[in-house]
Amino acid sequence: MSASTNKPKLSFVVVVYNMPRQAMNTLYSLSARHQRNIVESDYEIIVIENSSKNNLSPEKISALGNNFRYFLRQETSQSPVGAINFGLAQACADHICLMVDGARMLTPRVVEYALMAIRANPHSLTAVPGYSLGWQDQHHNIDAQYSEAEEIALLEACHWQQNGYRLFDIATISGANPNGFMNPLMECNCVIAAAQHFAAIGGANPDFQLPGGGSINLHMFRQLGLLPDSTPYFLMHGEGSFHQYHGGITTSQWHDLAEVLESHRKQLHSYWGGHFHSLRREPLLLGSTTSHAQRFLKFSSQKSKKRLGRLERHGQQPWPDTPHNSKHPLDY
Amino acid sequence: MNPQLSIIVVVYRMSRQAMNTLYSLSAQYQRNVCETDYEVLVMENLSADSLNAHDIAALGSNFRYFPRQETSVSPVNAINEGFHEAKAPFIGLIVDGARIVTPRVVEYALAVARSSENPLLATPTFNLGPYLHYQNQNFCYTEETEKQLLSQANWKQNGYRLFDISNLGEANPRGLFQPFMESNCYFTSKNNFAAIGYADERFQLPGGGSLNLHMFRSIGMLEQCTHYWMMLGEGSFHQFHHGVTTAQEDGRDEKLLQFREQLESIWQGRFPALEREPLLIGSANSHAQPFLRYSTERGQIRFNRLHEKRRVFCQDDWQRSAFCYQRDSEDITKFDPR
Repeated sequence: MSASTNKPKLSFVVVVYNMPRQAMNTLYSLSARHQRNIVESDYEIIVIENSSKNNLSPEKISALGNNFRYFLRQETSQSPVGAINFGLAQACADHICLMVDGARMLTPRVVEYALMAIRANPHSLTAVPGYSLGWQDQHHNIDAQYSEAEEIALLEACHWQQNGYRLFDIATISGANPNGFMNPLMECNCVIAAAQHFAAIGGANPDFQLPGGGSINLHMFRQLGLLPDSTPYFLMHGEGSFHQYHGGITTSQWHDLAEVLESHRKQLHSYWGGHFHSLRREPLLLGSTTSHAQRFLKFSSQKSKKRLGRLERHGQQPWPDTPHNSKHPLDY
Repeated sequence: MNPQLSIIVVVYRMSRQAMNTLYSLSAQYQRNVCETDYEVLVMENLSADSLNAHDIAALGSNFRYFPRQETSVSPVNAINEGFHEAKAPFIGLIVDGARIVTPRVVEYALAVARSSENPLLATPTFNLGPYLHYQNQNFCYTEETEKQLLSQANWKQNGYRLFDISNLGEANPRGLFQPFMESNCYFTSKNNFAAIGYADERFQLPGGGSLNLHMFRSIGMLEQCTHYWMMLGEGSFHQFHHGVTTAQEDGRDEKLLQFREQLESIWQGRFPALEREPLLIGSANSHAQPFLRYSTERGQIRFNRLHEKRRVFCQDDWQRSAFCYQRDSEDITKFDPR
């Protein structure tokens, strides 16, 4: 076989810091054992870990498959920006799926559909909607007393390794898309685009040095979505990226969460002339809808109908962020 | 350069309706595609109410018109001539030329043709007007009513308004997530049509009888047909005309019985709808959202019912056994051999 046929079609870049239990679940969910209708050689998983007292075991990672590549980095910054850019530089494939937070597990057909989206159009942008494990979004955990132990028990009881779609049964829709995935997304923790598109936005902007990168992920998602040729915009309505509880910066219980978020917001808005906005592009749904995911599709459909109706009454365009070379966003 | 997609439309004695259908397939109306991407083959069995070749040519250089003298009352020969003429490796079939489509059908068909190995792509069916055309009580829904409805909706400006003036077709009364008996606008590879022997010439009953159902299921059950897709937010909309099964006429029930008998004799006594898990493609704008919401509600009901009975959700995926779709949901524990 020539080198070109060995080249993977898609590189996952997963950033990890101080979360070995959660990250091993994420990596298992990305492996060819869990992902369906694909083979190892279709894709690679690049794991970038910023070193801490809690590092991953390279042996355990390589046991997941031959398509895993692990990089342990010494990093002094509290931001993942350096790790992201290092990971993007390692990617062999022409398309990249970026997962800034290594604590997010995926459902079983993300890889298959990502490859389909790329084949449908190599310029496409594809988003996998986010969910939070547990019964409430994890920002509110102070009241809910949701703990890591509880989550471990939930995950064990649902046997997600046998059927990853059961994660929908123990999750709520993420705070990043509280009105469902057919309304504009603020960000996406599992986003697929051409490597040249990641290059066109300059990778992760190194100015985002706040803990956890601040709003770097929101910033990058919007940048990618506004590129003139990033069409179409696909959304995997029947798949999800499921956030596990960990000491993440914005996803766990901090009594000063409000101030932290405010500092993130300020930085973000300074880059967008004071007007950062969620990505208002029409999503093309792609993929199957398991029984587990049906209730979220119904919810999203209801919310979308409501939004489109409101905008129509006010005479506002529903998808103003659609690149100009696309003709379709005329309708409510 | 050859087109990537050939769309075959069969027409007989419905010039007004067919011109709407053909306009809806033109590049003036279809979005995000251009004429060179696809061709439209118009196979017309000539009658006293035939199309005008100049009108068709005016729709675009990608239209090819084949007026035919046909003695059979079935469209079988017209369809097969269409397959013979088609230049593209991927083919869309509209057996009943009275069906207007929405503006992104061609775009999604091209996307699906590129994205998966060997797909079958179905478009859901709707009926213009307040009720199914064969239930046209007292004949109060007429061609005139429909013309008015269409002109008020101004559908040529925005084809999605067709959703606002239609009801669900009888092929898919329970929405996207229930098995389909047929689709009146579906797409698959020329290879797949060849593999089922194209249109089966045994179907010589008026309108072809159950030919379309037969072809749709035959293709869906092919081992080589790896992916079954469904368009979300698009549709094919049936216009009122004197079709064999879609008009209110005396003797409709007897005709349908005859059709079913032929179909069941070919399928060893049992012809079920295609139970494969659909992969969706498309967006849902505000016109199509009510249909999506209804579909999710009906979908949940179906899933719950099958779950209680411990039955597989997608029987035909199991029988084809080539792929692992929802194979291992805890809900699917028992294979029902029927």
